[in-house]
Amino acid sequence: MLEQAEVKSIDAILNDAQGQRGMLIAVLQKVQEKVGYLPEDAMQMISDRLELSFSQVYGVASFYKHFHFKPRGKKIVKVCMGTACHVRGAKAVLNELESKLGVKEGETTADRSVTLETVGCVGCCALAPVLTVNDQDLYGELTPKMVDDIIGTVRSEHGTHV
Amino acid sequence: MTTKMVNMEIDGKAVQVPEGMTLVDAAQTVGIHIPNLCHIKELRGVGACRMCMVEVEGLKTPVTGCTTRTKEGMKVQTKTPKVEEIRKFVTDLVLSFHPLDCMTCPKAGGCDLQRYAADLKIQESSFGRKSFNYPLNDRSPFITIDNNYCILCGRCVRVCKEQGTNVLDFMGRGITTKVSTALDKPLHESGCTFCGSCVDACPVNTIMERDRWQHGREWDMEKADSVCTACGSGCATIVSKKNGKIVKVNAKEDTGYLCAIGRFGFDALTAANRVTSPMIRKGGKLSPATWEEALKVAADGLKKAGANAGFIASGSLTTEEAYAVQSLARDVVGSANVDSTVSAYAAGLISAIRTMYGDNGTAMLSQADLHSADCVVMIGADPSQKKQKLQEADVMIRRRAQAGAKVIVVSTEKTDLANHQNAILLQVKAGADAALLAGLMSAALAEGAQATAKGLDGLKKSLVSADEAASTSGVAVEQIAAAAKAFAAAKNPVVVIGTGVSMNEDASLQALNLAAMKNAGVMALLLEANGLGVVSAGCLSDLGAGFTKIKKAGKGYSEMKSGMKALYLAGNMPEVNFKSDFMVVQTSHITALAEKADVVLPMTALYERAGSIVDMYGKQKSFAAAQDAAGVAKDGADIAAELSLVISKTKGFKVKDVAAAIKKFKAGKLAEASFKPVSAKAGKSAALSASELLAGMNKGMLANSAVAKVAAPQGAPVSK
Repeated sequence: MLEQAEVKSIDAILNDAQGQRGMLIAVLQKVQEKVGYLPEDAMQMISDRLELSFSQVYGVASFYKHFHFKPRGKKIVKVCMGTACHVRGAKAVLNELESKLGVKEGETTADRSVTLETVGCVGCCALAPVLTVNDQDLYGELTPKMVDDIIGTVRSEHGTHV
Repeated sequence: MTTKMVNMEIDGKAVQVPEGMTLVDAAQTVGIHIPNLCHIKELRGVGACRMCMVEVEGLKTPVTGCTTRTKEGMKVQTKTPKVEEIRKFVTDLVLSFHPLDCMTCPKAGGCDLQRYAADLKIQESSFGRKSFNYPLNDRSPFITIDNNYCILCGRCVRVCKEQGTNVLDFMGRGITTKVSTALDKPLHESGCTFCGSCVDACPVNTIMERDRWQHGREWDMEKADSVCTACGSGCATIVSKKNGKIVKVNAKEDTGYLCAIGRFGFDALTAANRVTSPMIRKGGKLSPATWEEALKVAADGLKKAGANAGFIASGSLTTEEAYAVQSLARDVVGSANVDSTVSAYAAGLISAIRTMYGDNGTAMLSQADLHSADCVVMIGADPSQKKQKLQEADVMIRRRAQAGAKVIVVSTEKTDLANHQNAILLQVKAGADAALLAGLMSAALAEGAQATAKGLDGLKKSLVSADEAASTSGVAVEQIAAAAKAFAAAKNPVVVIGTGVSMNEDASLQALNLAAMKNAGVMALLLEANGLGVVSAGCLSDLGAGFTKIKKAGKGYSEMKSGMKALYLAGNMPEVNFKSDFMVVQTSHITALAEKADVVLPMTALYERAGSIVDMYGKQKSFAAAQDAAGVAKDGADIAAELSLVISKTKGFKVKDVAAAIKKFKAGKLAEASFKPVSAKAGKSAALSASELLAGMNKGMLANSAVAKVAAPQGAPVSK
């Protein structure tokens, strides 16, 4: 169920797009920005207000990897699995992250602080293997030993202690 | 509507085909099949599968036959080596992700992909084979989806969208695209009405009837045309049987529609509450009897009551059955008290039609051409797939709306169709329909509607301004203006009249006045399969068979509900509140009404029936029995004929007499329409709920059917 505040902000987004089917993708983006993902109730609201069927809304959203249907963490950790990173041991880094965070690739920790994902290539192969946090912070030349520290930093910024 | 024909050449043959039609459809009209996996007849092609490639003289490259439209002088080749090569390649690609298990596949024989692969001599894909191992989606009743077979043609997605159900769509992207519901929920949690249009559309084994596995394949089945008589649409069907058992039912027309009742409701024929033998009341309890015994008791009771016997024919009876009932009453028992259930919900409309067009006026209804309408005015009519009532009418009107027709909705509530983007809703206060229509007509005249019917001056005097109508009816004057403009500009408007006004003669007359103003077609949204046929067969208290005059009018439906010495109720009744000293009920299923009867006579149902009906479009449909009757059940015409002979050897009649009499029916010439002014003041509402009536009528039949769960009109659930 959506929280009252979330309903309010989705309403505000939809007020600008009432009945305009062409606004679907923009609305989906804005809603995901507010809520963090696209909950069923939010898509139902979008479907009602844009006068599109629920299946059309979900059909469009599911086309793009950008949209998520499950809650995501405050921090998105993306481990690069591109060729260079792969050759230099990205798999070992990922395994270490999985065991330390207690989640598999693509999953979110129970406290919704961290989501662990993989990406194709970040584009800085000279630093391989690399990972990014929230598409902003970059950690390079990784080894499994560095994982503890990185998790510490990621979590502390969120306010929880390791 | 006449379509312009053009001269073309297809495969060297000179042909005449309608202009602007897709090449695939046009070629089919002259018997040439252009292979295709994604085209749906009469829908705009999407050119997705590339199977329908053809060569057109003057064009460098082959084009898709489903998106190219016919033009004068076009020369098309559908079977050149070049296009064959393309088709082979397409089939090769499609087969690279298709399970090649035709030997056990229930779709075999009816599968388009199998047929084309055979035609093109492709045994297996030259690309190897990729399998996805999707789990079988059998989480819903009636329909299963197996995405492993899916070729992503999108036919199901498009039929679902086009008819406004909008449940299926493509989910995901690329090679992992999947046809499914939002969030992959089960169909029954996604707003699916289980009409099964997607089943008919699917070219392969992806979307199928649930019970098809190991229940026979196309070549095992015996097929017969039939008609579903569960509601006013009377949809044409194809019934497929194996070893005498119905396996599946499909829509007969490619562009047709069937709802869940028509497609999956055949289990009602063998349901536990089916009446398979006659019954008579003995010691206060109904117990089985032979036909001889039952007919004797019924005959004695009716004879005793004589002129005080009442006869009510259901609007779902065939014309033959209805004729037999009124003949039994008037010619054999000697009672003038004959009516039909149509009078229970459309008495006002029928008399309005007779006032305006003469006693044979209902014959006029066949002139309405909904399928080419560019403006549909719905007055007190709310057909709805979502609410599961008159779904087919909803689909047909929605298709017109999708094609750009304006839908003007005059109703006391926001109907489902009023939500369409091409709809104009005139939401009136209860009882103000006639008043609103008076304002709408004056606004339409001001917009330039050219009325040709007689008596326009008299009508004008009765009309009120749009402003006045707005204040009486509570509709915004801008809405009335918008509706009047759309109606005045329409070339082929159709006026649809439903149960919201059909008990109100004034409102019905006003609706007919509106139609006459533009010489528009009129459609009476009658709830039962043969409402019009039953009327023409003479099941009205003051009109004889074949629209003939009768000497003395008898009692009508509501007067017969109680106080008759004997009552003969034939077919499904919308209610159970009948009281009589002696009651004969002719029914296919045990109902609360049958339980009160003194004699129960078992009747055929759905696909067991034979005869003819006139559906709500005024179209005559004749059909033979597609399935053997359950037990010793008989068609109503046989029952009435046999009963008549027990009552009187001399006056009684035979079934062949019935058929002969019906052949002689002639609607004759219709009276020229002339306006019949009515008061533009707000009156009392006589609105009835189509949901409740329909639920009542089909309650017995559907009580033990699996479709009861999904096909019960909302607001009036069918209970066991």
